Amino acid sequence: MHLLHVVSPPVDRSPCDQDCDGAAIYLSAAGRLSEIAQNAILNAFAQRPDADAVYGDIEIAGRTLKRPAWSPTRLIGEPAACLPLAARCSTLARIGCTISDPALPLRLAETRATVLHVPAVLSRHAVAPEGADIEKINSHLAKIGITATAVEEGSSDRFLQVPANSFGPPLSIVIPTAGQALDEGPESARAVEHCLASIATARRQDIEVILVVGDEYQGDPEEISTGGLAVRLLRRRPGSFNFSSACNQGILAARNELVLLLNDDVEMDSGALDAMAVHFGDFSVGAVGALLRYPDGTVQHAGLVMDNGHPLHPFLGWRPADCRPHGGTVARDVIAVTGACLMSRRSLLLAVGGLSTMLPLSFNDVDLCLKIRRHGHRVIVEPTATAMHHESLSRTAEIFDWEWQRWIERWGEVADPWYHPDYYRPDIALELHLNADHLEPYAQHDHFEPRDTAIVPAAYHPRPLRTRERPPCEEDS
Amino acid sequence: MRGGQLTPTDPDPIDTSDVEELRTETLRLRDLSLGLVSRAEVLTDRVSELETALRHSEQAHRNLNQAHDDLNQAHHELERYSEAEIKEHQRIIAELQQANQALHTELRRHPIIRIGRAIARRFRLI
Repeated sequence: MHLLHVVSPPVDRSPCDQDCDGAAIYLSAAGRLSEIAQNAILNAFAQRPDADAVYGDIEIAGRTLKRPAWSPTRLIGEPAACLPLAARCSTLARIGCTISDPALPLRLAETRATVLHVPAVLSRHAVAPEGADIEKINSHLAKIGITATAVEEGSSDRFLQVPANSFGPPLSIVIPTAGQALDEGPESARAVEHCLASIATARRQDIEVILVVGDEYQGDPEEISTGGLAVRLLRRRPGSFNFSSACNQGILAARNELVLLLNDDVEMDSGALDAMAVHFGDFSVGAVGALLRYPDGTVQHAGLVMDNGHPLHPFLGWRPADCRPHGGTVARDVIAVTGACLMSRRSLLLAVGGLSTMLPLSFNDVDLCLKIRRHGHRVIVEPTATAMHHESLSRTAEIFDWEWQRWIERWGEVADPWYHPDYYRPDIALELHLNADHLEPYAQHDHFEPRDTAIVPAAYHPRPLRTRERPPCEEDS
Repeated sequence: MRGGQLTPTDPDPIDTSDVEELRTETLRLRDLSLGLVSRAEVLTDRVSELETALRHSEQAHRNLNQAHDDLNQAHHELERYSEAEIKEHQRIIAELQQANQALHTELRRHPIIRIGRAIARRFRLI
């Protein structure tokens, strides 16, 4: 390919027909291509004959916006997340869409098109490009099978609203529990009882709760207060505790197709179950995670990123409102979500072998998500589904060397498509809130290698942690 | 893979009538199978890295051999001359250098050059 039509307003149709071997890109009046854009776009199409469209990073009013790889779910909250977009003329003809149509990204998502991201600034704009309006997003939701409505809050925030009278699909909730108390003291209720009480507030009739208990259970599991829920007690086989194995036992016993793996120290907020479940109307979605907060209200989990083989929690310790400017509050594709609160399909979980018993404590959730992705399904985080997590109440957060070794042997270093190559890994292990430093670019480079959303295991090479530059202060001068 | 993951379950659960045990073993094998595929990809990537490194190393080897050949060639050419011839060449080179130096000295004394240098100094060009 050697032809890129740059289309500017006013225009109401694509510049050519499907016989054209070229591609087209639409730039609003306030936009222009960067110096490298044409070469980068044509090179991406040349490298990947299967690609339907290509987009890059963007500069708006002098500020660079680093973008993640293609995420159909992100388009619901951020319909302009990949605009401007260069599309093959043949693709436009095939899907019946014009290059200037703001709903083009939604149409590409509906047709399961292959869309690449080039991690380099490809266009500069005075104002942000405008994406599809709420009407088009709602029409898109209906087409992909999501029975919820997109609603707008303020000028830019869009999220899904599940109808109040929605019953949702029947759900099995699998909770391995050791019967730990939330606080010290004889009167303190067990974490699992708080967990069950929070589920009971969902007032759904079609919830089945499976508690998986073993020898380590402190007390009599028959005496657990179930909050009026239909609870089945599953006795774990004798042997040392293996979280993966306990979850698998619950998954096998589940009677419903939709399964939520839930830690007993998680308390679901109202509406969270429905907000997660609604995404499974879209068959391409294989797992959904929630936004988990610590009891002090700060973020514990909002999806995972992977840097040099290390799964990291971005936004850890942030206030949820502070995540908004960085896109942390929008439903989006991620490489993995925590197993503390992970919803999936039972058939899919069985097809990928459930949680790996060779990773009994750590990494089993990330491993599961990678298996789900490689099975052709997407993993997303839905931040409107929120829950409180008294993290690691029942175990230490330590990762043992043998666990790391097994993890690296199995997956090596998987590049995270939604993690920009300019971002960097934090260097202060004890100040976990600095994990979110990956949102500050380490360096500004143009990466011409187009990336898709494939999960590719590769040989692991440990990199030294990058040192965070200390900002200059008066003493230095 | 470490951790004895490849050893089959002993006793073989095929003989059991416990459905749960069979299902659990099925899950374990599915997970193991996906894990092995992914592990194979990690190793394939490592092989490709090593092959690239080997190609680079072979190229470096070829360059080194070429340099050795060039050096040997130079030695051979040097050996073609007798000691007397080399001394004669060195004497001629020394004579030429002396002649060159004398010519330079002569040139500096030439009136035109001296006038030129005086003008350049007047106008602070040198």
